[in-house]
Amino acid sequence: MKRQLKANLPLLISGCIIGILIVVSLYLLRPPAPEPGIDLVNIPFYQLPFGPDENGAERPFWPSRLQTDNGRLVDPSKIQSAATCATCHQKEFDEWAPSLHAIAGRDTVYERAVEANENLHRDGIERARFCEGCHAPGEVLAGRTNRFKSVMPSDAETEGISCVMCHTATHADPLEGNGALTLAVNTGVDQLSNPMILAAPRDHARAFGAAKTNALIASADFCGGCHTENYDQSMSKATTRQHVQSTFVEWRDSWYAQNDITCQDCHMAPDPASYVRQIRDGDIRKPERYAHNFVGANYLMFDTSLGSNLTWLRGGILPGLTKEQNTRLIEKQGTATSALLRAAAGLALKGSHITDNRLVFDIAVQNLGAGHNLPTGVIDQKYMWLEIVVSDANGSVIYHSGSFDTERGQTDPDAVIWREDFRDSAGNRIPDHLTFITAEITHLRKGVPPKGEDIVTYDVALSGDNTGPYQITARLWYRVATQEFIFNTLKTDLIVPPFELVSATFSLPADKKVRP
Amino acid sequence: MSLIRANSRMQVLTYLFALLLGTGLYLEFFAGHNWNAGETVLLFHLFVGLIFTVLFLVWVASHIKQGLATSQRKIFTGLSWLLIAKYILIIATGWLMVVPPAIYLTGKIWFWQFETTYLLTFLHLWGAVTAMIGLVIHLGLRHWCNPTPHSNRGEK
Repeated sequence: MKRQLKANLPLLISGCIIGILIVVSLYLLRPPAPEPGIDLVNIPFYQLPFGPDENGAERPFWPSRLQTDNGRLVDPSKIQSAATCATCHQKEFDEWAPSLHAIAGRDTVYERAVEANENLHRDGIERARFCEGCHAPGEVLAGRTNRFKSVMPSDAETEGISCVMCHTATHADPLEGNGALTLAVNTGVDQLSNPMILAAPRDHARAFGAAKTNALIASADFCGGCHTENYDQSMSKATTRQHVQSTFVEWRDSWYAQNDITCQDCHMAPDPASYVRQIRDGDIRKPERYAHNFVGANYLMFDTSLGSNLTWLRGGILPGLTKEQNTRLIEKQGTATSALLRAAAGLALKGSHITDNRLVFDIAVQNLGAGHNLPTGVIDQKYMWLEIVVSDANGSVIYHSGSFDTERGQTDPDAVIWREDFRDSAGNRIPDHLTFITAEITHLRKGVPPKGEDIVTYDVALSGDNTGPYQITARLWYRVATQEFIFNTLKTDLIVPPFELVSATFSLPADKKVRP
Repeated sequence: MSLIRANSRMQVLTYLFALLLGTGLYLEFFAGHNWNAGETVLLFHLFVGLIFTVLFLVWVASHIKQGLATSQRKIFTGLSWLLIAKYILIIATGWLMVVPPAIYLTGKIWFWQFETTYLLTFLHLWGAVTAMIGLVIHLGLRHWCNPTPHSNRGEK
């Protein structure tokens, strides 16, 4: 053997062996790391009024189905704040910060609705884990949804659905819903210092973006964990399971699911409205990237004309944002929200006939762009209605249905409305989203399914003075809250403006003009 | 005895390289078991890497001058230059990966695009693995011509 090899080979081999021995020894000799997370017994006065599960295990987050991977609560100081993530991921933070996900746990409408529910029941605060599991998972996982606030707050808990709440997910059950997500927030994250993250960013990415997590959060199943909501006896008066929000199932049974167009494709596209119109045109290629805006339908939370009221409605300004940044980002998100809403629906005249004294016509309300029902989600406050104005050849209005009173914020009670109603045990409608006393869910009219339509027939009486052609103006409106809900919950006379999804004019008899 | 005869600086370099390779492989394949313990190994890797860089650059200059000049085989010469290129690649990619934390320590944030990080890591890791193989070959290959029947040249 050559002498250089003779001299160095033992060094190479021994270097490798010693290196391995050092690593193995450190691994074996180091004191066992404490199990990450907080044990239930270390949260003073934590109440478990719902008892154990069928296997006898404690259910610290019930009635939310949210779980941590090791079953332990989370140390709030260990939950990375989105503002911290923004140190490097500024673009993603700027996309997420104005989103509904960011304010899910702090927006005033939600907060007041939770308080109203909490006051309904002796175990109201514990029952509110049902709401907070999806709206403020950090609060629930840290054990702060407790009548005695025995856990210190942290920025991350106020950030609603923050970075770690998605990027640590390991399991989702979209059919059970009610927050049926398992998060490796105790074990799947690193606590590396910033210089170390910068030195080995791939390790940081692998900690937060394990292959299993990345695959899960790119799927509709993940969204279904929260965008499926069922009421049972744990949190309501329902004696049988009541389906309150079925967005996942609506999507699963749709053309979109069959063509692998997921929630993320539309709601995380850089320009969601353009993407939806692309899909409408038959081009089902995936977006070029996924943004973290999660553009949805709640236009109110981006209505900057509300001024300081908007900041109040949004529950203040998130950590990591200045007022100017906040306004700029909200305006941008508001534009995207409006555009997305306008890409969702269509109106068509399906049939008509005129007799001597009747004008009968069918208006089709079409779901052209939403991969779920229109409207979807929990629609006891959110609702959609159709406004129809018929005028004769002289321009005289001979029929008007679905008007909106801008002074009182009331929709014509006789309008055709798509809404679900919460009902108490006596069958009375509950207008205030009081989950804990809801016994049954009924629908005035169910949402229009994806690529489907709902045909509404109008029968208008004509008098001898009316002469054609008749002009029908149809407007499809969406509103994120009923006025009674806003008044009862917020104790304010703030009028929630409706949003015009689409409008169209038709002439009878004869041609059709559509104004998208 | 051969250990004693070998150049002491070369011994240190060989040893450091073995440690760097071992810790690098740990970071690539095993750090996922405990991200926070990985930080210690990474710090060690960076520290040893800095020392290795300085010692290697000083040593390799004289080794090229004295060693490669005496090579009598083209294949040995070619492989040796390739090996040096590999070491330069490993050192360069390592230093490029250290740039973001160095800038962070000055109070600013800057980092490579994620794709660039992947490329740098790939070149750094697999460059090191192939360099280890190349080093063994380099050490094992003779750099002198086989002696002709009437000649008495060459090492023993």
